Amino acid sequence: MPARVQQLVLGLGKAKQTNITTASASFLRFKKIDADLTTPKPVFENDAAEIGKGHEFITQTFPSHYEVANRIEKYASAEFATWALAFGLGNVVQSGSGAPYTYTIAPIDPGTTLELPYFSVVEQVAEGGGSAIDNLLVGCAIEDFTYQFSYGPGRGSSKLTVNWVGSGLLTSPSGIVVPALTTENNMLAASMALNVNGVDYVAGKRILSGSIGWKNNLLVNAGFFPGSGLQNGLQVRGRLEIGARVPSFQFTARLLSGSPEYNTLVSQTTGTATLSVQHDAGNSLEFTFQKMAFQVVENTEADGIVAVTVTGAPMYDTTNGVLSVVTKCAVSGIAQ
Amino acid sequence: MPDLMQEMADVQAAIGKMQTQAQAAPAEPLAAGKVRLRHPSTGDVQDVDAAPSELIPLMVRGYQQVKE
Repeated sequence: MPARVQQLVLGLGKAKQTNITTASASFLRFKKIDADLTTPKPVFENDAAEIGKGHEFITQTFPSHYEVANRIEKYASAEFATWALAFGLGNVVQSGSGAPYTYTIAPIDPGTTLELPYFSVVEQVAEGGGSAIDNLLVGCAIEDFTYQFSYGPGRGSSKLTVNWVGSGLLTSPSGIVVPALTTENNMLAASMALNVNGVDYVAGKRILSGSIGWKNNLLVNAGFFPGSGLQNGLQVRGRLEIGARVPSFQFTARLLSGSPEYNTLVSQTTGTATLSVQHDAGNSLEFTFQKMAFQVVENTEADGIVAVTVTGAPMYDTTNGVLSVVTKCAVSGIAQ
Repeated sequence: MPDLMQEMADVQAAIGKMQTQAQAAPAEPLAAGKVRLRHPSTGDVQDVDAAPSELIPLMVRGYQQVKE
């Protein structure tokens, strides 16, 4: 009997792993929008191109390595946003003696470590009294996240997508009992406050859509170092280090007489950019770019209304870094 | 010269003993509303208000939360 993809049970490690090889001890179960199932891919080489066989065809295959990666696309809830941003940026402080807990999150300092906190992923799909899929993927790290907002009704106005990469370490069957679905508090774009370089884009009813992103550019090949380890004769990664990280910020707003975006671009004025959304006072998300100039300003249109799309240039502030995030939710222990 | 060497060894031993005692000493209890951060390389410990304006400047320099 085949299984439907809605049966997928997705568990994401809540506390950070103690190291890349030791699985998460606790999990959060989430729903998601995309239907992408994770495939742990064993990669094999062959000798087709080698000289001396008398022909150009394959005579032998050789185990190489495991590749594991996937994405998680979700409506932005306070719980998932906390999870994604904590593991995606890496340096996390949890405060508060009871719910709601406050998470203050900053990018890891490369002078201290190059490794983000690792988490495990569990995917289970029940089928015919057994499991079509039951995998525990150990030693995963976030490659990038993108928060997207747009005008329009519903949860689709505020979404968060994560791409993650695994070490290749796999336990199947997982042996994990995934807890019940996490109660999520979605944060609609209608709750947004947005202030960029001193301009309140919500008060003027100008903001239409935009995105905030962070890409870690993980050094995936450097994870296969001498001694990194083997599984079924195939190499697995023994580390996932950050490369040159790239923050991004883009937004589209209605263009009015006196709109300051073009002048801000030309003068290269800098200022902070803060974007916040919330479900309620105890479930919220706030991004702060500490210093922002404009890199590109383009005139455009949305639904026939003249608009302007601004691509920001997030800059490093010597005191506060480039990006910080504060979230609030009722779940304790994320990335702790 | 041997006296000098012995003196240096004594000083090293005293420093080591002080470091061991410092590590073994129980941490001061954390005041309400404060967060304890420690730098993993230098070992410097800072107790600061649980406010982004206090936390972020230390976190971007590598300080990490310490939980007893």
